[in-house]
Amino acid sequence: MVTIARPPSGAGTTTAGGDNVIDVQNLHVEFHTSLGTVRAVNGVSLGVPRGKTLGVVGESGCGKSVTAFAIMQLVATPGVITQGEIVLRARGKDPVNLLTHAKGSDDMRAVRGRHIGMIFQEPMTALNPCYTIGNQIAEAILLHRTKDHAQADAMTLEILSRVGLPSPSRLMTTFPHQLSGGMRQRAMIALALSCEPDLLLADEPTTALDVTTQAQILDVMRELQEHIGMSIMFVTHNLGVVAQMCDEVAVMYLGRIVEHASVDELFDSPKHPYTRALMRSIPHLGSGRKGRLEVIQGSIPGQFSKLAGCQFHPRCPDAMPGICDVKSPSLLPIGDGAQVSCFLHHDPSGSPRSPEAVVARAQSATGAGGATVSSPN
Amino acid sequence: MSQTQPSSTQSGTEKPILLEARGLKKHFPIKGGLFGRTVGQVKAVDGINLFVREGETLGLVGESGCGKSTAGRTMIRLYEPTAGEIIFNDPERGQMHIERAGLADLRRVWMNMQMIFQDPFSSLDPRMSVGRIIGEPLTVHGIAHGSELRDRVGMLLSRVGLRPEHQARYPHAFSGGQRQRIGIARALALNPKLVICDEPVSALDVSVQAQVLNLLEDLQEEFNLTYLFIAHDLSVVEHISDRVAVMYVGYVVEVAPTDELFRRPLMPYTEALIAAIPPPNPRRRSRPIKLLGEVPSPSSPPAGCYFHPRCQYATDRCKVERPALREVTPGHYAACHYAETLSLRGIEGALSPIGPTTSGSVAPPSLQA
Repeated sequence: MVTIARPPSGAGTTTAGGDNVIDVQNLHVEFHTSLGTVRAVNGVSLGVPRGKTLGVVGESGCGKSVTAFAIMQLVATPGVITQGEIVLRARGKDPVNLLTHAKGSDDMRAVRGRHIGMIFQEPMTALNPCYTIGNQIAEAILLHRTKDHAQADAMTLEILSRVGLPSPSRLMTTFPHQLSGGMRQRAMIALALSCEPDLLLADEPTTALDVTTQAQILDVMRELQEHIGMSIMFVTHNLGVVAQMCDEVAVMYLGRIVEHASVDELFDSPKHPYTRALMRSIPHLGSGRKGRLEVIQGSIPGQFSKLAGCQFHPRCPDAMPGICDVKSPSLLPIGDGAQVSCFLHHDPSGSPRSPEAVVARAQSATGAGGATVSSPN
Repeated sequence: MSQTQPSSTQSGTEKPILLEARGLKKHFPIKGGLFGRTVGQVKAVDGINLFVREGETLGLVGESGCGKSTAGRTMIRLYEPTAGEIIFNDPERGQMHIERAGLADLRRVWMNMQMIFQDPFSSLDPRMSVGRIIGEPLTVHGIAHGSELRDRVGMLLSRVGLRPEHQARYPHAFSGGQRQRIGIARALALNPKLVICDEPVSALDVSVQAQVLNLLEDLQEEFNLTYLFIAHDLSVVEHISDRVAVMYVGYVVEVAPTDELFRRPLMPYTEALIAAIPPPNPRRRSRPIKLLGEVPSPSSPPAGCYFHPRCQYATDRCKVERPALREVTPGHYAACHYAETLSLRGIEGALSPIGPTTSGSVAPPSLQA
């Protein structure tokens, strides 16, 4: 095995502005249904640094995919973006707030595919079954990069061979149903990257694939990222994939980011009780058969319910009565570059607690003596 | 076949075999042409040898399309086997041959063998109330009716972590994890000896997955259940299984106790499968051993060892001669000509558990040879 050299993760989280390809500020997405309003994304702020990969982690229904779709302004009705700012800093262009473009405007169409590419979990539903692979990729290239058909075909061939598909010339005339799952996913990556976008939104791209195929696809994505120098926002719930692919990670719960840190920081010392619980609830290869897995108590509250205070407090082992169920914490930086939305780590006035205070607080809250800081075994 | 028999050195301490498949095959015909003639065979399961001991959990892993689900369904005779034997050791009647059992015998077998399905949405009839779904096996086998039936269903519901008063509700009112619990309650209604779990947690979210895995382990202890646990997620299989069998294109290529299989694999495919798992540790970024190409089609598998076109250790012998599953070391079966000579990489105890570590945390024992 060859270990890949990686730049040191350094300060981890980026400050707004900086050299982020995309900056999302205070994004709100709501779905107005006859049964009530679902607040799928509830004040999300995140940035993807240029050339880096941001992982967005969470369970189904936490709003991670909706955030990705909102960046493309592709939220399906009845969903609406009610608030926020999405600033795109494409190479050689002035920063632009995408939300000033109307959903169906030419300006927005010029961004989709050209500056932001997207790949989806299920390639069979994302590719058009009526057109050949070559057709679909050439269409995107003709729309954004060239008007010359011969040149577009040449570019299509090149991108198809770059994603590691065998005999690309034959694939030009192949329909999606004739390919296996892994090959379809490669074809979709080729489609998304055909215009060399600044940002790739990857929405669970390997969830439907086998581990061996997943390893191949992750390899292709890494190589292309180096080659094109693009940034990736990687939406997934697989922590192994996050550890292998991402530089920074944002953990989402119920439409909010609860923790944002560099990948090393997050795996070394997860701060938010939800992140900790999530990591412990997953069986890890090599840990052997160790009896019961730790579970997160309770279940995710209903989508229409409105909770006072921290969204996680009913399930949180460290919840502090009178604080967590009253006031809602905001995502604030703590000492080492990470950001956490939890009163265990900063007091209600917003100033960070010292590490000793965090330990003492956790002990008094659980009464069990440092249950939150000792390792689970 | 004799290879699958437990080795004589171990048989003294091991529990008796509950279910065994010998040379089991399930081929599906491919129909084609004007008159719908059979033009080929999909050899989904192509001669597997496997046994499950009483009280253990046997994990069955493999990539999609390798025939692991078909193997499970054929062993409970949801599919008619094409060839081979399936022997169930009934506690009262002794050995029963499932593959040629009549309906009366099959009903007897099914009282002791039940199944949990992958998809909690399609495996529950949306037009039946939860009480009827769970009570159906009891009604069909004439075990309980009336208020007794309701009581037993209520007990089963509370045992799987749902409320007895949920009997009157319909499946749509439940979340995915709760539905899977209903499926588990249905499988347990007849108090079976063996449960075939076909990807029971792969459709669930991670935190719900942990709850269902814990429930399955609790129930195993409480009712002395035996599981045949089919899954593609190796970490889940490692967590829950006592022994693991690896399948590739309709054939069992390796069987071993869990730790042994993951730390000292003897078959190159198992090595590649383990290497492909992304370790949940950002400091261990490594390129996996490249497993090139794709799984061959089970309708036209390659000659010789099915894995040879993708195997980095393949020789000319592998191209012509198909290796049989044989016992290489006691309890460790592998289908590879070079199982004794290859030294393959397992997980090496290096995939340490993630999360906050303190000085007191235990490092995984180094079992590398």
